[in-house]
Amino acid sequence: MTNKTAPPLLRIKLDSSTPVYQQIADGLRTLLVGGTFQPGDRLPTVRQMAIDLGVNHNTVAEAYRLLADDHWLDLKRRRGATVILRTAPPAKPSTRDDFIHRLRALAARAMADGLEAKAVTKHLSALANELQNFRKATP
Amino acid sequence: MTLLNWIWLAAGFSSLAGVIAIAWVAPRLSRPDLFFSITVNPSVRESSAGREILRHFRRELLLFSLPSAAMALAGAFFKLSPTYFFVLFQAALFLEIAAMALAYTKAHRRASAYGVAPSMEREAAVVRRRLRWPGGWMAQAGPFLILGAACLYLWRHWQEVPPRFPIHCGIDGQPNGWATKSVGAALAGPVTGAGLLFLLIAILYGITRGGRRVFISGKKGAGESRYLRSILWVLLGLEYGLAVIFAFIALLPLPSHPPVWLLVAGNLVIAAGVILALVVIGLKSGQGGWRLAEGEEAGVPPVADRTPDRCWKGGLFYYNPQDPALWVEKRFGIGWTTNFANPRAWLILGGLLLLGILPFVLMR
Repeated sequence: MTNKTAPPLLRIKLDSSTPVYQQIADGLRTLLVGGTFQPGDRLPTVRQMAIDLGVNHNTVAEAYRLLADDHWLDLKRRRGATVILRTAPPAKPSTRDDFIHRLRALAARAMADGLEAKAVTKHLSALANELQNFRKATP
Repeated sequence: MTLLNWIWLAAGFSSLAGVIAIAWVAPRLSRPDLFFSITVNPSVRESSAGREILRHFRRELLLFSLPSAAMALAGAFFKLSPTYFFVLFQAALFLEIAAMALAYTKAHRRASAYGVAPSMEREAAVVRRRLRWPGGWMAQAGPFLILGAACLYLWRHWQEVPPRFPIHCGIDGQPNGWATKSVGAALAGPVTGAGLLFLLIAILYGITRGGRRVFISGKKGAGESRYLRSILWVLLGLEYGLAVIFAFIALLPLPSHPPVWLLVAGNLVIAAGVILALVVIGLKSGQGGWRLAEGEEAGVPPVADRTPDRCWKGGLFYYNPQDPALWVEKRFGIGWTTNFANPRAWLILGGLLLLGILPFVLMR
Protein backbone atom coordinates (compact mmCIF):
# COMPACT_ATOMS: atom_id res chain seq x y z
CA MET A 1 0.00 0.00 0.00
CA THR A 2 1.40 3.37 -0.89
CA ASN A 3 -0.05 5.56 1.87
CA LYS A 4 0.94 4.31 5.32
CA THR A 5 -0.32 7.20 7.45
CA ALA A 6 -4.06 7.45 6.79
CA PRO A 7 -5.84 4.21 5.95
CA PRO A 8 -7.80 4.23 2.68
CA LEU A 9 -11.50 4.55 3.37
CA LEU A 10 -14.51 2.97 1.82
CA ARG A 11 -17.87 4.68 2.28
CA ILE A 12 -21.26 3.28 1.38
CA LYS A 13 -24.86 4.38 1.87
CA LEU A 14 -27.26 1.67 2.94
CA ASP A 15 -30.26 3.68 1.72
CA SER A 16 -28.84 4.32 -1.76
CA SER A 17 -30.63 2.97 -4.83
CA THR A 18 -27.33 1.35 -5.90
CA PRO A 19 -27.01 -2.15 -4.40
CA VAL A 20 -24.56 -2.32 -1.50
CA TYR A 21 -22.32 -4.95 -3.16
CA GLN A 22 -22.06 -2.66 -6.18
CA GLN A 23 -21.11 0.31 -3.98
CA ILE A 24 -18.41 -1.76 -2.28
CA ALA A 25 -17.05 -2.99 -5.61
CA ASP A 26 -17.13 0.57 -7.05
CA GLY A 27 -15.36 2.01 -3.99
CA LEU A 28 -12.66 -0.64 -4.06
CA ARG A 29 -12.21 -0.31 -7.81
CA THR A 30 -11.63 3.44 -7.37
CA LEU A 31 -8.90 2.69 -4.82
CA LEU A 32 -7.37 0.01 -7.04
CA VAL A 33 -7.34 2.18 -10.16
CA GLY A 34 -5.99 5.09 -8.09
CA GLY A 35 -2.96 3.02 -7.15
CA THR A 36 -3.72 2.84 -3.44
CA PHE A 37 -2.87 -0.86 -3.55
CA GLN A 38 0.00 -2.65 -5.20
CA PRO A 39 -0.03 -6.20 -6.54
CA GLY A 40 0.42 -8.54 -3.57
CA ASP A 41 -1.39 -6.28 -1.08
CA ARG A 42 -4.10 -8.07 0.84
CA LEU A 43 -7.53 -6.58 1.36
CA PRO A 44 -9.44 -6.97 4.65
CA THR A 45 -11.16 -10.30 5.10
CA VAL A 46 -14.80 -10.61 4.08
CA ARG A 47 -15.71 -10.97 7.75
CA GLN A 48 -13.86 -7.84 8.85
CA MET A 49 -15.25 -5.72 6.02
CA ALA A 50 -18.78 -6.99 6.73
CA ILE A 51 -18.46 -6.13 10.44
CA ASP A 52 -17.07 -2.65 9.73
CA LEU A 53 -19.77 -1.82 7.21
CA GLY A 54 -22.55 -3.57 9.14
CA VAL A 55 -23.63 -5.65 6.15
CA ASN A 56 -24.01 -9.34 5.47
CA HIS A 57 -20.88 -11.40 4.71
CA ASN A 58 -22.40 -12.50 1.39
CA THR A 59 -22.72 -8.87 0.27
CA VAL A 60 -18.99 -8.26 0.71
CA ALA A 61 -18.14 -11.67 -0.79
CA GLU A 62 -20.22 -10.75 -3.86
CA ALA A 63 -18.32 -7.46 -4.27
CA TYR A 64 -14.97 -9.29 -3.99
CA ARG A 65 -16.17 -11.84 -6.56
CA LEU A 66 -17.06 -9.03 -8.97
CA LEU A 67 -13.55 -7.61 -8.67
CA ALA A 68 -12.02 -11.07 -9.00
CA ASP A 69 -14.01 -11.64 -12.20
CA ASP A 70 -12.62 -8.31 -13.40
CA HIS A 71 -9.07 -9.64 -12.69
CA TRP A 72 -8.34 -7.20 -9.86
CA LEU A 73 -8.27 -9.72 -7.05
CA ASP A 74 -7.18 -13.25 -6.44
CA LEU A 75 -9.49 -14.98 -3.99
CA LYS A 76 -8.05 -17.86 -2.01
CA ARG A 77 -9.80 -19.63 0.80
CA ARG A 78 -7.13 -19.17 3.44
CA ARG A 79 -5.30 -16.08 2.19
CA GLY A 80 -8.35 -13.92 1.51
CA ALA A 81 -8.37 -11.30 -1.24
CA THR A 82 -5.00 -10.38 -2.77
CA VAL A 83 -4.49 -7.61 -5.33
CA ILE A 84 -3.03 -8.99 -8.55
CA LEU A 85 -1.22 -7.49 -11.48
CA ARG A 86 -3.86 -6.47 -13.99
CA THR A 87 -3.35 -5.26 -17.51
CA ALA A 88 -6.18 -3.11 -18.80
CA PRO A 89 -7.73 -4.66 -21.92
CA PRO A 90 -7.70 -2.54 -25.09
CA ALA A 91 -10.74 -0.23 -25.00
CA LYS A 92 -13.56 -1.14 -27.38
CA PRO A 93 -14.88 1.67 -29.61
CA SER A 94 -18.12 1.63 -27.63
CA THR A 95 -16.31 2.12 -24.29
CA ARG A 96 -15.50 5.79 -24.91
CA ASP A 97 -18.97 6.59 -26.29
CA ASP A 98 -20.60 4.83 -23.36
CA PHE A 99 -18.37 6.72 -20.89
CA ILE A 100 -19.19 10.13 -22.43
CA HIS A 101 -22.89 9.29 -22.53
CA ARG A 102 -22.92 8.31 -18.85
CA LEU A 103 -20.82 11.28 -17.79
CA ARG A 104 -23.19 13.70 -19.55
CA ALA A 105 -26.18 12.01 -17.98
CA LEU A 106 -24.55 12.22 -14.54
CA ALA A 107 -23.72 15.93 -14.91
CA ALA A 108 -27.25 16.64 -16.15
CA ARG A 109 -28.70 14.75 -13.19
CA ALA A 110 -26.55 16.74 -10.74
CA MET A 111 -27.66 20.03 -12.32
CA ALA A 112 -31.27 18.94 -12.36
CA ASP A 113 -30.89 18.25 -8.62
CA GLY A 114 -29.71 21.82 -8.04
CA LEU A 115 -25.92 21.71 -8.39
CA GLU A 116 -24.66 24.77 -10.28
CA ALA A 117 -22.81 24.35 -13.57
CA LYS A 118 -19.78 26.02 -11.96
CA ALA A 119 -19.71 23.42 -9.20
CA VAL A 120 -20.04 20.55 -11.67
CA THR A 121 -17.16 21.95 -13.70
CA LYS A 122 -15.05 22.37 -10.55
CA HIS A 123 -15.60 18.74 -9.52
CA LEU A 124 -14.91 17.42 -13.01
CA SER A 125 -11.72 19.45 -13.11
CA ALA A 126 -10.65 18.13 -9.70
CA LEU A 127 -11.34 14.60 -10.91
CA ALA A 128 -9.30 15.25 -14.03
CA ASN A 129 -6.37 16.34 -11.87
CA GLU A 130 -6.76 13.26 -9.70
CA LEU A 131 -6.73 11.04 -12.77
CA GLN A 132 -3.29 12.36 -13.69
CA ASN A 133 -1.93 10.46 -10.73
CA PHE A 134 -3.75 7.23 -11.51
CA ARG A 135 -1.58 4.49 -12.80
CA LYS A 136 -1.57 4.39 -16.56
CA ALA A 137 -1.58 0.71 -17.34
CA THR A 138 -3.69 -0.24 -14.30
CA PRO A 139 -0.96 -1.64 -13.50
CA MET B 1 -16.69 -3.20 65.02
CA THR B 2 -13.69 -5.07 63.62
CA LEU B 3 -11.51 -3.82 60.76
CA LEU B 4 -13.28 -6.25 58.44
CA ASN B 5 -16.67 -4.86 59.49
CA TRP B 6 -15.51 -1.35 58.66
CA ILE B 7 -14.20 -2.55 55.27
CA TRP B 8 -17.56 -4.15 54.47
CA LEU B 9 -19.44 -1.04 55.63
CA ALA B 10 -17.29 1.23 53.47
CA ALA B 11 -17.57 -1.13 50.49
CA GLY B 12 -21.34 -1.41 50.87
CA PHE B 13 -22.00 2.31 51.06
CA SER B 14 -19.53 3.20 48.32
CA SER B 15 -20.99 0.61 45.92
CA LEU B 16 -24.46 2.00 46.58
CA ALA B 17 -23.27 5.58 46.09
CA GLY B 18 -21.28 4.41 43.05
CA VAL B 19 -24.36 3.02 41.30
CA ILE B 20 -26.20 6.32 41.86
CA ALA B 21 -23.20 8.38 40.71
CA ILE B 22 -22.72 6.28 37.55
CA ALA B 23 -26.43 6.58 36.69
CA TRP B 24 -26.23 10.34 37.37
CA VAL B 25 -23.46 10.96 34.82
CA ALA B 26 -24.25 8.19 32.31
CA PRO B 27 -26.60 10.28 30.11
CA ARG B 28 -23.79 12.81 29.65
CA LEU B 29 -21.26 10.14 28.66
CA SER B 30 -23.24 8.74 25.72
CA ARG B 31 -22.52 10.07 22.24
CA PRO B 32 -24.09 13.53 21.76
CA ASP B 33 -26.55 12.23 19.19
CA LEU B 34 -27.81 9.50 21.51
CA PHE B 35 -30.08 10.57 24.33
CA PHE B 36 -31.32 7.84 26.66
CA SER B 37 -30.50 5.36 23.87
CA ILE B 38 -32.58 7.19 21.28
CA THR B 39 -30.98 8.69 18.14
CA VAL B 40 -31.58 12.44 18.30
CA ASN B 41 -30.16 15.60 16.80
CA PRO B 42 -27.20 16.66 18.99
CA SER B 43 -28.99 19.92 19.82
CA VAL B 44 -31.74 18.03 21.69
CA ARG B 45 -29.54 17.26 24.68
CA GLU B 46 -28.88 20.94 25.40
CA SER B 47 -32.40 22.11 24.51
CA SER B 48 -34.85 23.04 27.27
CA ALA B 49 -36.82 19.83 26.57
CA GLY B 50 -33.62 17.75 26.80
CA ARG B 51 -32.57 19.41 30.05
CA GLU B 52 -36.04 18.82 31.47
CA ILE B 53 -35.87 15.09 30.62
CA LEU B 54 -32.46 14.87 32.29
CA ARG B 55 -33.66 16.77 35.39
CA HIS B 56 -36.68 14.47 35.60
CA PHE B 57 -34.46 11.40 35.34
CA ARG B 58 -32.14 12.59 38.09
CA ARG B 59 -35.01 13.56 40.39
CA GLU B 60 -36.61 10.15 39.93
CA LEU B 61 -33.27 8.42 40.37
CA LEU B 62 -32.84 10.03 43.79
CA LEU B 63 -36.47 9.45 44.73
CA PHE B 64 -36.43 5.76 43.74
CA SER B 65 -33.09 5.35 45.55
CA LEU B 66 -34.58 6.31 48.92
CA PRO B 67 -35.76 2.77 49.88
CA SER B 68 -32.36 1.19 49.17
CA ALA B 69 -30.52 3.97 51.05
CA ALA B 70 -32.93 3.51 53.99
CA MET B 71 -32.23 -0.23 54.00
CA ALA B 72 -28.47 0.29 54.06
CA LEU B 73 -28.66 2.93 56.79
CA ALA B 74 -30.90 0.71 58.90
CA GLY B 75 -28.32 -2.07 58.63
CA ALA B 76 -25.60 0.26 59.90
CA PHE B 77 -27.80 1.85 62.58
CA PHE B 78 -28.95 -1.45 64.12
CA LYS B 79 -25.36 -2.78 64.01
CA LEU B 80 -26.36 -6.03 62.37
CA SER B 81 -23.94 -8.92 62.36
CA PRO B 82 -21.62 -8.89 59.30
CA THR B 83 -23.56 -11.73 57.64
CA TYR B 84 -26.97 -10.02 57.94
CA PHE B 85 -25.41 -6.70 57.03
CA PHE B 86 -23.94 -8.24 53.87
CA VAL B 87 -27.27 -9.80 52.86
CA LEU B 88 -29.08 -6.51 53.53
CA PHE B 89 -26.58 -4.61 51.40
CA GLN B 90 -26.95 -7.08 48.54
CA ALA B 91 -30.71 -6.54 48.66
CA ALA B 92 -30.21 -2.74 48.82
CA LEU B 93 -27.88 -2.87 45.83
CA PHE B 94 -30.38 -4.95 43.87
CA LEU B 95 -33.13 -2.47 44.76
CA GLU B 96 -30.89 0.42 43.68
CA ILE B 97 -30.24 -1.15 40.26
CA ALA B 98 -34.01 -1.65 39.88
CA ALA B 99 -34.54 2.03 40.82
CA MET B 100 -32.01 3.09 38.22
CA ALA B 101 -33.67 0.88 35.58
CA LEU B 102 -37.08 2.36 36.39
CA ALA B 103 -35.86 5.99 36.15
CA TYR B 104 -34.00 5.13 32.91
CA THR B 105 -37.04 3.45 31.32
CA LYS B 106 -39.20 6.51 32.00
CA ALA B 107 -36.57 8.88 30.54
CA HIS B 108 -36.07 6.55 27.53
CA ARG B 109 -39.80 6.78 26.83
CA ARG B 110 -39.78 10.57 27.13
CA ALA B 111 -36.72 10.92 24.85
CA SER B 112 -38.30 8.72 22.15
CA ALA B 113 -40.52 11.69 21.22
CA TYR B 114 -37.38 13.40 19.85
CA GLY B 115 -36.04 10.40 17.90
CA VAL B 116 -34.82 10.90 14.33
CA ALA B 117 -33.62 8.52 11.62
CA PRO B 118 -29.83 8.07 11.85
CA SER B 119 -27.41 8.39 8.95
CA MET B 120 -27.26 5.29 6.77
CA GLU B 121 -23.69 6.03 5.74
CA ARG B 122 -21.06 3.48 6.75
CA GLU B 123 -17.30 3.70 6.54
CA ALA B 124 -14.56 1.12 6.75
CA ALA B 125 -10.79 1.27 6.62
CA VAL B 126 -9.57 -0.86 3.72
CA VAL B 127 -6.66 -2.33 5.65
CA ARG B 128 -6.20 -5.62 7.40
CA ARG B 129 -6.79 -5.09 11.07
CA ARG B 130 -3.77 -6.11 13.08
CA LEU B 131 -4.35 -7.33 16.57
CA ARG B 132 -2.54 -5.01 18.98
CA TRP B 133 -2.60 -6.51 22.45
CA PRO B 134 -1.95 -3.90 25.12
CA GLY B 135 1.64 -4.40 26.21
CA GLY B 136 2.12 -7.16 23.62
CA TRP B 137 2.06 -10.91 24.15
CA MET B 138 4.57 -10.69 27.00
CA ALA B 139 2.25 -8.49 29.09
CA GLN B 140 -0.68 -10.81 28.33
CA ALA B 141 1.32 -13.83 29.47
CA GLY B 142 2.15 -12.20 32.83
CA PRO B 143 -1.12 -13.06 34.65
CA PHE B 144 -0.80 -16.73 33.63
CA LEU B 145 2.79 -16.78 34.90
CA ILE B 146 1.61 -15.42 38.28
CA LEU B 147 -1.01 -18.19 38.50
CA GLY B 148 1.53 -20.77 37.36
CA ALA B 149 4.04 -19.61 40.00
CA ALA B 150 1.41 -19.96 42.75
CA CYS B 151 0.55 -23.49 41.57
CA LEU B 152 4.24 -24.38 41.45
CA TYR B 153 4.73 -23.09 45.01
CA LEU B 154 1.74 -25.15 46.18
CA TRP B 155 3.09 -28.26 44.46
CA ARG B 156 6.52 -27.79 46.10
CA HIS B 157 4.81 -27.51 49.54
CA TRP B 158 2.18 -30.20 48.93
CA GLN B 159 3.32 -32.13 52.02
CA GLU B 160 2.29 -29.22 54.25
CA VAL B 161 -1.33 -29.22 53.00
CA PRO B 162 -3.53 -30.68 55.78
CA PRO B 163 -6.09 -33.46 55.05
CA ARG B 164 -8.84 -30.81 55.22
CA PHE B 165 -8.29 -27.20 54.19
CA PRO B 166 -10.48 -24.07 53.95
CA ILE B 167 -11.92 -23.22 50.58
CA HIS B 168 -14.38 -20.50 51.54
CA CYS B 169 -14.47 -17.75 54.13
CA GLY B 170 -17.43 -15.88 55.54
CA ILE B 171 -17.53 -12.12 55.39
CA ASP B 172 -16.20 -12.12 58.96
CA GLY B 173 -12.97 -13.58 57.56
CA GLN B 174 -13.47 -16.97 59.24
CA PRO B 175 -13.36 -20.14 57.14
CA ASN B 176 -16.82 -21.67 56.67
CA GLY B 177 -16.23 -24.13 53.84
CA TRP B 178 -13.78 -27.06 53.80
CA ALA B 179 -12.45 -29.53 51.24
CA THR B 180 -10.64 -32.84 51.55
CA LYS B 181 -7.08 -32.81 50.27
CA SER B 182 -7.07 -33.57 46.54
CA VAL B 183 -5.50 -32.11 43.41
CA GLY B 184 -8.96 -31.15 42.07
CA ALA B 185 -9.87 -29.20 45.20
CA ALA B 186 -6.49 -27.48 45.30
CA LEU B 187 -6.67 -26.51 41.65
CA ALA B 188 -10.30 -25.28 41.73
CA GLY B 189 -9.22 -21.68 42.42
CA PRO B 190 -6.36 -21.33 39.92
CA VAL B 191 -8.27 -23.20 37.17
CA THR B 192 -11.25 -20.89 37.62
CA GLY B 193 -8.86 -17.92 37.59
CA ALA B 194 -7.23 -19.14 34.37
CA GLY B 195 -10.70 -19.63 32.83
CA LEU B 196 -11.65 -16.08 33.80
CA LEU B 197 -8.42 -14.77 32.26
CA PHE B 198 -9.07 -16.67 29.03
CA LEU B 199 -12.58 -15.22 28.94
CA LEU B 200 -11.24 -11.69 29.46
CA ILE B 201 -8.73 -12.21 26.66
CA ALA B 202 -11.53 -13.54 24.44
CA ILE B 203 -13.51 -10.37 25.18
CA LEU B 204 -10.46 -8.24 24.46
CA TYR B 205 -9.93 -10.14 21.19
CA GLY B 206 -13.62 -9.80 20.35
CA ILE B 207 -13.68 -6.04 20.93
CA THR B 208 -10.61 -5.44 18.78
CA ARG B 209 -11.55 -7.92 16.02
CA GLY B 210 -15.30 -8.43 16.19
CA GLY B 211 -16.36 -4.91 17.16
CA ARG B 212 -17.27 -2.15 14.78
CA ARG B 213 -15.63 1.27 14.84
CA VAL B 214 -18.13 4.11 14.52
CA PHE B 215 -15.56 6.56 13.13
CA ILE B 216 -12.37 5.64 11.32
CA SER B 217 -11.12 8.94 9.99
CA GLY B 218 -10.52 12.46 11.28
CA LYS B 219 -10.45 13.73 14.84
CA LYS B 220 -13.39 11.51 15.81
CA GLY B 221 -11.59 8.42 14.53
CA ALA B 222 -8.42 9.37 16.44
CA GLY B 223 -10.44 9.99 19.62
CA GLU B 224 -12.09 6.59 19.26
CA SER B 225 -8.70 4.90 18.89
CA ARG B 226 -7.38 6.57 22.05
CA TYR B 227 -10.50 5.60 23.99
CA LEU B 228 -10.23 1.98 22.83
CA ARG B 229 -6.57 1.78 23.83
CA SER B 230 -7.31 3.18 27.31
CA ILE B 231 -10.06 0.63 27.92
CA LEU B 232 -7.82 -2.23 26.76
CA TRP B 233 -5.13 -1.14 29.24
CA VAL B 234 -7.71 -1.17 32.05
CA LEU B 235 -8.70 -4.70 31.03
CA LEU B 236 -5.05 -5.72 31.15
CA GLY B 237 -4.81 -4.22 34.65
CA LEU B 238 -7.89 -6.24 35.62
CA GLU B 239 -6.22 -9.40 34.32
CA TYR B 240 -3.23 -8.80 36.60
CA GLY B 241 -5.51 -8.01 39.56
CA LEU B 242 -7.46 -11.22 39.03
CA ALA B 243 -4.25 -13.21 38.67
CA VAL B 244 -3.03 -11.94 42.06
CA ILE B 245 -6.39 -12.74 43.71
CA PHE B 246 -6.51 -16.28 42.29
CA ALA B 247 -2.84 -16.87 43.10
CA PHE B 248 -3.75 -15.98 46.70
CA ILE B 249 -6.70 -18.41 46.55
CA ALA B 250 -4.34 -21.09 45.19
CA LEU B 251 -2.25 -20.73 48.38
CA LEU B 252 -5.23 -21.06 50.77
CA PRO B 253 -4.71 -24.83 51.28
CA LEU B 254 -1.34 -24.08 52.92
CA PRO B 255 -1.47 -23.50 56.70
CA SER B 256 0.92 -20.56 56.30
CA HIS B 257 -1.26 -18.70 53.77
CA PRO B 258 -1.44 -14.89 54.01
CA PRO B 259 -4.28 -13.45 56.15
CA VAL B 260 -7.80 -13.60 54.67
CA TRP B 261 -8.52 -9.93 55.33
CA LEU B 262 -5.78 -9.17 52.81
CA LEU B 263 -7.72 -11.16 50.21
CA VAL B 264 -10.94 -9.26 51.00
CA ALA B 265 -9.19 -5.88 50.95
CA GLY B 266 -7.33 -6.83 47.75
CA ASN B 267 -10.61 -7.74 46.04
CA LEU B 268 -12.14 -4.43 47.02
CA VAL B 269 -9.08 -2.41 46.00
CA ILE B 270 -8.99 -4.07 42.56
CA ALA B 271 -12.74 -3.59 42.02
CA ALA B 272 -12.53 0.05 43.14
CA GLY B 273 -9.43 0.65 40.99
CA VAL B 274 -11.03 -0.75 37.83
CA ILE B 275 -14.27 1.18 38.40
CA LEU B 276 -12.35 4.39 39.13
CA ALA B 277 -10.22 3.98 35.99
CA LEU B 278 -13.35 3.41 33.87
CA VAL B 279 -15.06 6.45 35.41
CA VAL B 280 -12.02 8.65 34.70
CA ILE B 281 -11.84 7.38 31.09
CA GLY B 282 -15.59 7.86 30.72
CA LEU B 283 -15.52 11.43 32.04
CA LYS B 284 -12.49 12.36 29.97
CA SER B 285 -13.33 10.59 26.71
CA GLY B 286 -17.07 9.95 26.74
CA GLN B 287 -18.48 6.89 25.00
CA GLY B 288 -16.37 6.05 21.94
CA GLY B 289 -14.00 8.96 22.70
CA TRP B 290 -16.42 11.62 21.41
CA ARG B 291 -15.29 14.12 24.06
CA LEU B 292 -11.75 13.96 22.66
CA ALA B 293 -13.11 15.25 19.35
CA GLU B 294 -15.38 17.96 20.75
CA GLY B 295 -15.84 20.87 18.39
CA GLU B 296 -15.92 18.55 15.38
CA GLU B 297 -18.92 19.08 13.16
CA ALA B 298 -21.89 16.90 14.06
CA GLY B 299 -23.20 14.72 11.26
CA VAL B 300 -26.49 15.54 9.55
CA PRO B 301 -28.46 13.34 9.87
CA PRO B 302 -26.91 12.16 13.17
CA VAL B 303 -24.47 9.27 12.89
CA ALA B 304 -25.11 7.98 16.45
CA ASP B 305 -23.46 4.53 16.72
CA ARG B 306 -24.36 3.19 13.25
CA THR B 307 -26.92 0.72 14.58
CA PRO B 308 -30.66 0.96 13.92
CA ASP B 309 -32.83 2.11 16.85
CA ARG B 310 -35.38 -0.61 16.18
CA CYS B 311 -32.82 -3.33 17.04
CA TRP B 312 -32.32 -2.01 20.58
CA LYS B 313 -34.67 -3.57 23.11
CA GLY B 314 -35.38 -0.93 25.72
CA GLY B 315 -32.24 0.83 24.50
CA LEU B 316 -30.09 -1.66 26.44
CA PHE B 317 -30.12 -4.98 24.58
CA TYR B 318 -29.00 -5.15 20.95
CA TYR B 319 -30.52 -7.85 18.75
CA ASN B 320 -29.81 -7.56 15.04
CA PRO B 321 -29.52 -10.77 12.99
CA GLN B 322 -28.45 -8.69 9.94
CA ASP B 323 -25.41 -7.27 11.73
CA PRO B 324 -22.32 -9.53 11.73
CA ALA B 325 -20.69 -7.52 14.57
CA LEU B 326 -20.48 -9.36 17.88
CA TRP B 327 -19.66 -6.29 19.99
CA VAL B 328 -21.32 -2.90 19.61
CA GLU B 329 -21.08 0.26 21.70
CA LYS B 330 -23.50 0.55 24.58
CA ARG B 331 -25.97 3.36 24.08
CA PHE B 332 -26.20 4.35 27.75
CA GLY B 333 -22.94 4.99 29.59
CA ILE B 334 -19.63 3.64 28.29
CA GLY B 335 -18.36 0.26 27.11
CA TRP B 336 -19.68 -2.42 24.80
CA THR B 337 -22.48 -4.92 24.72
CA THR B 338 -22.98 -8.03 22.64
CA ASN B 339 -25.28 -8.46 19.67
CA PHE B 340 -27.61 -11.07 21.15
CA ALA B 341 -28.58 -12.23 17.65
CA ASN B 342 -25.02 -13.52 17.27
CA PRO B 343 -24.66 -17.11 18.60
CA ARG B 344 -21.18 -16.26 19.96
CA ALA B 345 -22.80 -13.82 22.42
CA TRP B 346 -24.54 -16.78 24.01
CA LEU B 347 -21.24 -18.69 24.07
CA ILE B 348 -19.74 -15.85 26.14
CA LEU B 349 -22.71 -15.91 28.53
CA GLY B 350 -22.41 -19.71 28.72
CA GLY B 351 -18.70 -19.35 29.48
CA LEU B 352 -19.47 -16.98 32.36
CA LEU B 353 -22.05 -19.40 33.72
CA LEU B 354 -19.61 -22.29 33.38
CA LEU B 355 -16.95 -20.37 35.30
CA GLY B 356 -19.49 -19.79 38.06
CA ILE B 357 -20.08 -23.51 38.56
CA LEU B 358 -16.58 -24.78 37.71
CA PRO B 359 -15.15 -24.48 41.25
CA PHE B 360 -18.04 -26.52 42.68
CA VAL B 361 -17.50 -29.26 40.09
CA LEU B 362 -13.76 -29.38 40.75
CA MET B 363 -14.18 -29.50 44.53
CA ARG B 364 -16.66 -32.39 44.53
